[in-house]
Amino acid sequence: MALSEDRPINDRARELLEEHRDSIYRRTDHMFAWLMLFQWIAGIGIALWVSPYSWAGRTQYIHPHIWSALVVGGLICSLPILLARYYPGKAITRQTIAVGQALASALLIHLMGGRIEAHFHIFGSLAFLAFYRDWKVLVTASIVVAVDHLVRGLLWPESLYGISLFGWHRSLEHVGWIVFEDVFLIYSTWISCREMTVIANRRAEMEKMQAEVEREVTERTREIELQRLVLQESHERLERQTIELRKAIESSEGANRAKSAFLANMSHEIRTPLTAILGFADVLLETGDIYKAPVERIDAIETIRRNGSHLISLINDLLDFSKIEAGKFQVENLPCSLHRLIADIRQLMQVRAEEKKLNINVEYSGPIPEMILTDPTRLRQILMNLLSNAIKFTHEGNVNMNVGLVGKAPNRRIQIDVTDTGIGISEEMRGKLFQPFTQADGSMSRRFGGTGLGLTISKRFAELLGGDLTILETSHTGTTFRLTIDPGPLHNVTFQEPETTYSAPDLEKSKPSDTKNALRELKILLVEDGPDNQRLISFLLKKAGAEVDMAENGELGYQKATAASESGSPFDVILMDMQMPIMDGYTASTKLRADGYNGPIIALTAHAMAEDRNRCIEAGCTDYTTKPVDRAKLIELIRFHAEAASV
Amino acid sequence: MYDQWQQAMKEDTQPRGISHAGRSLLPVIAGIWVVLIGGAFTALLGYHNIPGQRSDHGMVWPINHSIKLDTQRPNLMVFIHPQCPCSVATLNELARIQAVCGVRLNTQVIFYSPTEMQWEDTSKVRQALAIPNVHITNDADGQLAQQFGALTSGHTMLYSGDGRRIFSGGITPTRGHEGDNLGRKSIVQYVLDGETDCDRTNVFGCPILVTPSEVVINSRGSEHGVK
Repeated sequence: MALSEDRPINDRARELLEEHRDSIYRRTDHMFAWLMLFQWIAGIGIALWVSPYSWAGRTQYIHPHIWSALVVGGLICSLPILLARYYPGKAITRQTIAVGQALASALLIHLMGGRIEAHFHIFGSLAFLAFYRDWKVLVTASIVVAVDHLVRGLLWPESLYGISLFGWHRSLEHVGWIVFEDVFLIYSTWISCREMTVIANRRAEMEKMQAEVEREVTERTREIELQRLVLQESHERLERQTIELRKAIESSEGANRAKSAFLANMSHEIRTPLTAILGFADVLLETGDIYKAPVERIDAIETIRRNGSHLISLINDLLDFSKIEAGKFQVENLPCSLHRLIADIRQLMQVRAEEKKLNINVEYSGPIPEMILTDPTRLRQILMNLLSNAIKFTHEGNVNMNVGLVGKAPNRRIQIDVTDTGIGISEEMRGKLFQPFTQADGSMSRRFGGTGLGLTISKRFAELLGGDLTILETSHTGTTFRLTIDPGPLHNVTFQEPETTYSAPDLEKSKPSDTKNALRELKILLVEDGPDNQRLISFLLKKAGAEVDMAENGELGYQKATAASESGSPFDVILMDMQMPIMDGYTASTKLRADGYNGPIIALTAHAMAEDRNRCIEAGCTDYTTKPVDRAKLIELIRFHAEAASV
Repeated sequence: MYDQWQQAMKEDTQPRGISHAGRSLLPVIAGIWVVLIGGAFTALLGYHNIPGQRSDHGMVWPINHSIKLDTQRPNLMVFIHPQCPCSVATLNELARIQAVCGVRLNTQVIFYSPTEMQWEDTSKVRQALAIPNVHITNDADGQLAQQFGALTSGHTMLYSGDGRRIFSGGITPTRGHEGDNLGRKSIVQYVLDGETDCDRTNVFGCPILVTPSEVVINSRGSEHGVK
């Protein structure tokens, strides 16, 4: 029985010692069973070899040694072998074996003619008996040897001592040698038993420790199992929450998608009529003897144009803000000349500033990189917004821009401070300024216009460009906004000194001198489903000198373009509306490109989001422009692609 | 020893729970076993210690034509049955005597040699030939043995130079056993000192000639020789 924790260690040690002893006894019993069997056979062999026959003159007889070896030898080993077989490990067995082994020694000595060498069998037998590690068997065997000597010494003294008289001292001498060996063997047995006791004690201690360790392991395992169950429960709860969250996210994404789709559709639906409204307002202003018209009519047309432009601006801001809120707004990372960009913006805004007799000053505090990596469109949008606000809220004085490079690598930033001498911002509104749909007060919108989204979007753009937009200071004498952006890596970038800054080209020079006849001799296919836009755009194109053919949807456009190409007079440019019934512009463009059509296709769409451009290009369009139509830009785009195609 | 066995029996039978039949039979079997072995050993030892027949009443060198008495030295006559396994011990003892006495003795080993039996080259003869200063004589049909009265293989007789018999008996302690014995000791003592305490011991060996009833079997024969 293994040791339990509450069992005395000495009991277990005793039990282990007994087990060990029993094992030794059994093993030695079996060893002696085989040894005695071997001795029996050997005795018979010796008798046959040494004294096979006894003789009387000429007559021979089987020698009595043969019978002695066979019968006495068999008798000697029979009981020990039987006991070793059926009662191994018992005291009676090893005591019988001790007696048998001593008698076997005596028999073998007789069979071998009493030679002195044969007597060593006794010493060998005692050594073998010491395997039992039981001193009692040594005593038993020694007693048998002593009795044999004493009895034989008394009966036949000469056979033992060479003289005819029995002498105690001779017997004691013989027995003395046996005792001499016994002393060593018994001592060795005692030592061995002591070691066995020590081993048993250690093993019992080890078992006790093992039992303690097992108990500890069991407890720990139970604790771990409990922890595992708790963890499993937490995991399952977390999984449930994850599923719920995923559903919520999916639901939210679905709502976002719906919102985006709604905004895109709304943008399209609003831009399409605005295209006609603004376009025809322009037409009204430019056609006929407009100078003869009453001032009220011209004011009315101007009002239509201004409000239309405001509406376009509002839609653009709403689209941008919506995309930013949805986290889907992606900025580009393009090389950009900061000098040129600022010069362009300054020149662009200077016109509006001059209307209020303001001046825009640009200062550079030290050299700035010739080229930076940023999204120039968004940077332009931010700066335009800042300048626009500065001009809007400044009645006299000027607007200053201070541009510089601040910080140390790798945290260098472009810093642009826009300072005006305007009315300032109250402390109350300062914290709310970058929140959407917030303006200084309700009257602002009425007084100055604007959607209330400009600064919000600008700040988000600044963050997307790796920087920030903050109010540096504000008072009733003016306000300073600080814009910082990440210029990207500046290794191997040359720096420009302020005096070498780029001088923006004159807008007047860059504008096409005249749109009249700009598209002369060009054959254009206009694929457009809206009748108002058909009339407006075809009017603009025709006025620019182009020959315009019309198609009401993508399928008709595809057929007309294919037919023209097959007849050998393909269109110079196809203007493709993308949102049409029957077949949309994407499908029509894709089919045309699949048929090998190489001419320029310019997408004309009310979808003004960034991914819409990519979608158009992927569908096979050469370029992209949005509604409402900017007449000059459209004509310039058509002319550019027509010339590029002809080259 | 008996106590230990009793204790062993007690240890085995009480705590281990051997069956009742086992408890009652084990001591009986062990007792029978001890008695049988004791009897067998007694018989074996008795056989070893029962002396052979002899007929050596003549106290002087008998007249014969085969072996001449050496008047200058003691004469040692050893009668051997060439097939007797017990006589190996006698020849070994003779070798020990010769090792001590050497040429001081005229030693004759007389091998029984019955006609029609080719026993001139047995292991005993070869063993005798290996002993230095020993003369080998073939005793045809045991005539010399008859004359000297040696009826048992291993019978040894010592005669003085003037033909008196000094010693008659065996030179082994028991049948076929070697070791210190009265016969060897007496012969060596006489050769070295000219006198001996014992003139007669028992002879242990196979009968060379099976005769006469006049041979007296006396297990204490050696005592006759004690002066």
